Amino acid sequence: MIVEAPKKQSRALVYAGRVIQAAVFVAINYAIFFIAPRFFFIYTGLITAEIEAAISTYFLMIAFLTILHLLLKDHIIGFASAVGLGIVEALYIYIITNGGVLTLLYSGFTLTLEFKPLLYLMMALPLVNIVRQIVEYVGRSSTQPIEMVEVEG
Amino acid sequence: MVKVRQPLISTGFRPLTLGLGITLLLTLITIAYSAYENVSYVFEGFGVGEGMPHLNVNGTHLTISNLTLANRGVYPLSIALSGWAMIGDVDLGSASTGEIIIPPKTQKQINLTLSINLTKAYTDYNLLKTILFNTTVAAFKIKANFGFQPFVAASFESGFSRNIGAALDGLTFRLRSVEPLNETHIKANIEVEFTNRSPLVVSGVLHSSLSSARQRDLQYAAAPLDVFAQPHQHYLALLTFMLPKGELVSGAWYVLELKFETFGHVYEWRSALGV
Repeated sequence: MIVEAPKKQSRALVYAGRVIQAAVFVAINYAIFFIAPRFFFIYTGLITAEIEAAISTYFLMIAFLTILHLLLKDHIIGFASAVGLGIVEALYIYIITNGGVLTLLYSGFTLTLEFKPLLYLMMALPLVNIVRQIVEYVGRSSTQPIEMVEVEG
Repeated sequence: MVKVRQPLISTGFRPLTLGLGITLLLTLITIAYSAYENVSYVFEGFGVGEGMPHLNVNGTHLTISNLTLANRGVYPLSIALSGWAMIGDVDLGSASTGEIIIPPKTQKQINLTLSINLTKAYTDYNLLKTILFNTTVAAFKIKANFGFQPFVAASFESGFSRNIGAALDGLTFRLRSVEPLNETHIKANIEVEFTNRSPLVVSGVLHSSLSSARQRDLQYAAAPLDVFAQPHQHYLALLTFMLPKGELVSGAWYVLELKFETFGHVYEWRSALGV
């Protein structure tokens, strides 16, 4: 009869993995939520102090919530961070695109861009993610995982 | 170790998120591609003078013709051109092509003719007064609505303005001649001169009276003068006054009371007349 003890990953190793994952996600978010909008607003000449402040503030919130969500995956704080992250991302996309209507002014010319269907598609990703997180959390708490020891004999 | 399986609804969210992400990415790429292709086509064409619209403004029409647009993108390109002409707050006319859909890989020629109804300016007293005596600015606005259906709609608005000269530009009254009529009266011929620098036809009746220098509240009226001047026409006519001898004193200045009846409005003003 062989009794096999469950493999336990070292807690430090788990957290090291999560830190790397968080770093990668923060880098991706930096490109999507900081560099891309900033480049767009500078290139189109729409950049203002308010927009720059909004980009920085929202990016810091997104980065903070991403780190919190990934480091505390198993904790309720991690779940709350994931939901908060989705809300902040959706809100940020809506605010930074001015509700899907952008107006560019060039010496006597006015160009108005309206891209509401695209905006809703962009916002759908974080909003679906919120629902996913809630469904997963509810499912996880209602059916607690059970660790069993298989005994061969 | 036995793990509890996630509910089906939960596992279904992953492909949904992935699908949405791929859809968004593909949409953005295809829109960017279509925008690049169409914008580069427009600039290439305009660079060699191909598809360039001809813009023509004459007195009564603003015409944009031979604007050729090709859709080299992957989405149907919708385009609508509209134009307005205004003087002050008065709308002189507007026109629109309506929505034109250019399917992918096809091209269409677009023309827009805007009729400018200058007579609308006659309905506004203050505006007509300004047009008669001052240079005014006519504003023309052009708006192009276009978009890649159904994702992006854009509108491009621009305008230009043209100065419209005064209809009674350089209006002057000058004593041309004084002739004896009989023993008691003289005939004074006063020259009326102006240039119609507006695109409007000046048509009306000018009533004039000369205040007596010797007797208060006494005025001498001239026969009403029918004024008609085509755009850019130099107008010259004579007002004839029958005055008692000694009424006109050389070197003196007199006040001419003037009334101009045109398009149902009457404009009254005074002008100085040197003798």
